[in-house]
Amino acid sequence: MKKLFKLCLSLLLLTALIGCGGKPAETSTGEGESTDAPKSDIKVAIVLSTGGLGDKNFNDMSYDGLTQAKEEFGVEFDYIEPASASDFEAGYRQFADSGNYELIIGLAADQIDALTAVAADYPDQKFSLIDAPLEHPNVSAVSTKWQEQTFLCGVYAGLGTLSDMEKANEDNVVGVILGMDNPNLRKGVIGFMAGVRYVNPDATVLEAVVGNFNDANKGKEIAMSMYNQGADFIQHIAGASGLGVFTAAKEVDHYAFGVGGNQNAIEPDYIVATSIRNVNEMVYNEVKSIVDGTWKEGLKISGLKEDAVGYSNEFSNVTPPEEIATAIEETKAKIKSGELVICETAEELDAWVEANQYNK
Amino acid sequence: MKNEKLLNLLNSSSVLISFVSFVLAVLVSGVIMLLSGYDPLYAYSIIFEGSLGSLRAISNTLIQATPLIFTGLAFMIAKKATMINLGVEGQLYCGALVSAIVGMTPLGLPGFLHFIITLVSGVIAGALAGAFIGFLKVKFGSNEVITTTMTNFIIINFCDYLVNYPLKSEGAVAQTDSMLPETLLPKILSSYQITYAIVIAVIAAIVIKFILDQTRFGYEIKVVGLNMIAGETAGIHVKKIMMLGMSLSGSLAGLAGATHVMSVGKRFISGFSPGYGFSGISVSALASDSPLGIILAGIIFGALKTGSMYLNMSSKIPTEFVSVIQALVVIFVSAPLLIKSIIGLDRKPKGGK
Repeated sequence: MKKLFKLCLSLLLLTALIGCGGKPAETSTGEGESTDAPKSDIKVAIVLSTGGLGDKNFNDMSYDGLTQAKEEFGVEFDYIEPASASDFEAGYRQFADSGNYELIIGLAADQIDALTAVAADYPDQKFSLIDAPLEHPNVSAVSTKWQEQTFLCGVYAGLGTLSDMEKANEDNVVGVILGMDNPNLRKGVIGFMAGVRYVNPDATVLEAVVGNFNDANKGKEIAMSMYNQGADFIQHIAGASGLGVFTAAKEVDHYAFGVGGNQNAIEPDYIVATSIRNVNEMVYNEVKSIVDGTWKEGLKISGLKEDAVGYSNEFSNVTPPEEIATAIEETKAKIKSGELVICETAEELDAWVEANQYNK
Repeated sequence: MKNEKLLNLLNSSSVLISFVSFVLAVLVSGVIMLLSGYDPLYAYSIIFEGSLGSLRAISNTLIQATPLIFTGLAFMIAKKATMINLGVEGQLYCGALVSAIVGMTPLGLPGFLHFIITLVSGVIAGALAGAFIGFLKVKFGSNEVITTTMTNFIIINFCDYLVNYPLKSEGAVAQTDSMLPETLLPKILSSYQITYAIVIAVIAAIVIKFILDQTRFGYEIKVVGLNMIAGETAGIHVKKIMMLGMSLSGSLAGLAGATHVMSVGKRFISGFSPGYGFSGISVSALASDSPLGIILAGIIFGALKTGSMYLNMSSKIPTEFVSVIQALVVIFVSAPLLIKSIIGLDRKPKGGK
């Protein structure tokens, strides 16, 4: 009988659970009606990428950008962490359907399909896609100039390998390692190469592909082989595979550059600088444009000038020699003013190096 | 007394065990949530609202349920034929990849024919992958648990290689080109994501029930599953049944992959499956291997999954709790004696008083 009582109790609890299913629905739709109210009532949503929160990279940076917007404008935000690419569309639809959100933000190129399908069904909903190009009437797609992101580290490497910095060697060789061979990262490689040869036209830039973004061991092996070939500075654009590059740098006592969020603190004695990409800034700016009413659809490509990408040696224990620091500052100013425009493709590179030289 | 009669009746069809297991799993997860400092009542109400509270929610639930029904059937049919098919995930990948390739290639055929070929090729791919495991088992006595687990790695990584290199479409994402519009499953409602894939899933479940209950093949599978030696003595070709069972299982997994790329993905995307194949095990367990029960179990797990996304969006409660519920269901279902002792069915009617 006791057991039967337990069963009845659990049934009762279950019905109780089902019974209160309706309640939150009312509250959430209640909030949704105030879309035109003062600024602090604005709600935005984000469909994160499959890595999810806690990746210390893309997703966490986006979250930081939203947190910043929340603190400054009182904007509320909700997020979804899709389990796989199959859930993107459902996530977008869930947000769009509720009608509560002024702006729905998406991340990265693998959401293009889902967003294209959903944006067409909700022509009045504003969408922002971060770090991928998409031309659609109600979508603002923000991407960055990869070539500007890595250029300044290239300048650092180009001058550094000639300098008498402690861990630099005699050879005029540097390297760049990319995670996967895709068009975006390819532009990053060109940017780095252009940066190196802008200040050091005779330098050899080694290049290699890891094949994925989460194989730190392979990243390390490739870096080791580059260091053995005489490289003393390596830029990685390889996500978590790049962590292996740092390990290799430490082992052979040479330098490396980080990428994305500021990675200098990981190995502050070996990582001299990071090619920064401020995903948080991009997300923040999109929300800001909603708040001040300047949000516009269309493709936006931002670079150094907009602070979407940049260079930072903060948190690194290595201080660059005076002339390198000056060169970087001067070059940065030139790119920001539009005086120096960096090439994007391998075909343009040689001609570009001919035409643009730091000492000219 | 009446209650106990009812309980015994329910027990005979093992519906009760599944039901009690599910309730227990929900309760225990609730306790875990409470201990972690979240409000379980709020969480469950959000999950309920997000999965069944609106037409959109129901549509999302059915989308999530579709692959689970297929993979649940796939795991179940292999189990009936005495095989533990942990390779459903890999077979699903085979079906998805082959369908996506056939679907994206212009064949110069009439649209409907191309559509059929796209679907069928995925099924065949899955069936072959399943048959291969069956072959290893029958011919060499390889343990299918090991061979399926290992072939999963090979298949999934090979698919990843293909979409990263030879089949990669333009751009930054590891995926194939888009499939042609005529090879996609039509939508049931416009501006909703739901397609006729769910109808195919339900039909598949009914067909499987028919095969098991009404055909000689189904009868033989059951006999082999119950007592292999008795089956052999009775003149049933056990090895053939195992091969066929595995192929049927694989073809259902292939159908899961094919319908998924033809409705949700519209192309093969690297990492498209969050483990549909493995969730099939839970689905089949909750349904206690009944084909029609699998439809219901698939919808329940689909609802949990959809509800968890809604939970994700409207609260800070981690969605991993839904995986906890799913895991607890399997644990409870696979411990029928525990459930029976909890609800008092292990005692004689009089002793229970």
